[in-house]
Amino acid sequence: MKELLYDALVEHVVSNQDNYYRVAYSYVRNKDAALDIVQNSICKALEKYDTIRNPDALRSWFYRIVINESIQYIRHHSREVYPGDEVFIELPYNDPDFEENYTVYNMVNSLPEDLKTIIILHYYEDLTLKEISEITDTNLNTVKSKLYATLKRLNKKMKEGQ
Amino acid sequence: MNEKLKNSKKIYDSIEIPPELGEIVAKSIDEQPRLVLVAPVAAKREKTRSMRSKTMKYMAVAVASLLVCTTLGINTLSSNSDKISDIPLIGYLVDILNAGNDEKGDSNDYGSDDTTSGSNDTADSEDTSDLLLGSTYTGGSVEDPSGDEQSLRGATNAETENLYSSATSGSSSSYDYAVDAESEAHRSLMYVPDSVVFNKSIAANSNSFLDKKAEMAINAFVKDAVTRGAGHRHSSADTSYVVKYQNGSILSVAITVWDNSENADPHVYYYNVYLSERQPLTLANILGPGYIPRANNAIVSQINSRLASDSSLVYWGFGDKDGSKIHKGFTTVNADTDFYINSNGNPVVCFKEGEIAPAYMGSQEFEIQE
Repeated sequence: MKELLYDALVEHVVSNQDNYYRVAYSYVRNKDAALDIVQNSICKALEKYDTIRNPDALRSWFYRIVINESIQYIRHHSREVYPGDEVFIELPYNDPDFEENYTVYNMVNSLPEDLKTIIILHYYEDLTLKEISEITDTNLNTVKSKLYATLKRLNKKMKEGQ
Repeated sequence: MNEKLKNSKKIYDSIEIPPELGEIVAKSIDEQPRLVLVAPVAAKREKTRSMRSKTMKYMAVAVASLLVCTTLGINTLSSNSDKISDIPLIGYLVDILNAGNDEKGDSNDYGSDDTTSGSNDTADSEDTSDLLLGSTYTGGSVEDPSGDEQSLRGATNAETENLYSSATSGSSSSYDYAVDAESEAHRSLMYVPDSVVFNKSIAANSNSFLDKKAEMAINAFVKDAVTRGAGHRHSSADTSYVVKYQNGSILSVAITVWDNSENADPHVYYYNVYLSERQPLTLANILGPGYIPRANNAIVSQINSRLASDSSLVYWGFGDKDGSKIHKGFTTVNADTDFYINSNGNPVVCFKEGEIAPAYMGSQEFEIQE
């Protein structure tokens, strides 16, 4: 059983490493920091995987670790000023909606952490609100109301910007 | 906004993945020694298990006490029996449904009442219940005990089913709590009072019959819980009754049992009692000899007129609708046909859902004019 869980965890992490990196990057906006976070998260997960009671919850459990690590990282390094590498390589310039998408994306990035978490997990990582409530350890209704409040807020910002 | 956010995922997805990510991940996995956690894990499991069974126990006690509260609703009423017997109608329901409660007040103690009080003119509140019962207790024999048992059947089924289904909502590890509490509650509810409707010996017979039924239900539950484990189904049960008709000597009650462990449809049990004779009331009693053809004619003509007034209705065996030829439909009433007495004093014959017509039409009722 434990062996199976270990294998499942390793396989899951390896095959979803890009997703976890992006989540971490969204918080810290720095390549090396994001890599650190992924590494720490894997170590934590392998230390504690015996506490997983439900193997189906592996995905949300690991997201939770990555997000907690990211937030911890930001707290510890909040005073450090590191060069943000905001420049994207291979941006889809040919996309006519690029500008708007870019604006929306930057607005999401400037949200407070808890709201940002919900938006990223829901819209970018395609997690359900229920999974998000498990990951963030908040009530499902709280997640919903936060999500709707955030959408309102973004909408308003969009209109102001135009 | 929803759409815009979904579109901006493109930007998110274009976050560059550094080439060293794969290497770092692989290295982190390799460096982390595999854990050998046999003993602590076992200890942890033990702990969760004992916690779980504790929770189960609490839950069982909670479930049991809840059910006791519900089923004892009527018993609670009877603790105020002085007041309640002042209310004619509830007065005897308390007595019929809340039998086995030996601590009745005098005003409720029909059995020990003087046999001479046959007069119905004492209208003061204390004697209301006597009045209602016709006060013709003679202690005489009742010729046909099987008849009594039959009229009891409704109540028996209702209560044992209730018992069974509520007991099953307990858990296997602690079913004994639930069953103990349940059986107490239900038995007291199920007992037929010696004094009211039935002759004493018949009441005793009926009660032992009910006891056996309860015993069987408990055994079945225990067996079920042991073999299949707890929580194999969610159960709840609820009962209610409606007094369809009552005057001085005749009482007609419909008891409805909702038992979601078996079926979504409520079971309805009707029973009709001729109080002053302490006899179950049958269709034959009301309609007199030759009641079967008369009732049948009335039902057939009502089916035909309903079909004529609404073409969407279906009664099996009538008309040429689909299914009419497959299902038997209505043929005849008999001594076991369910009925109640309506406010006009006429018997209303009832057929269960799906008995004579498709289930979507619900239960079917036909008033038989005397």
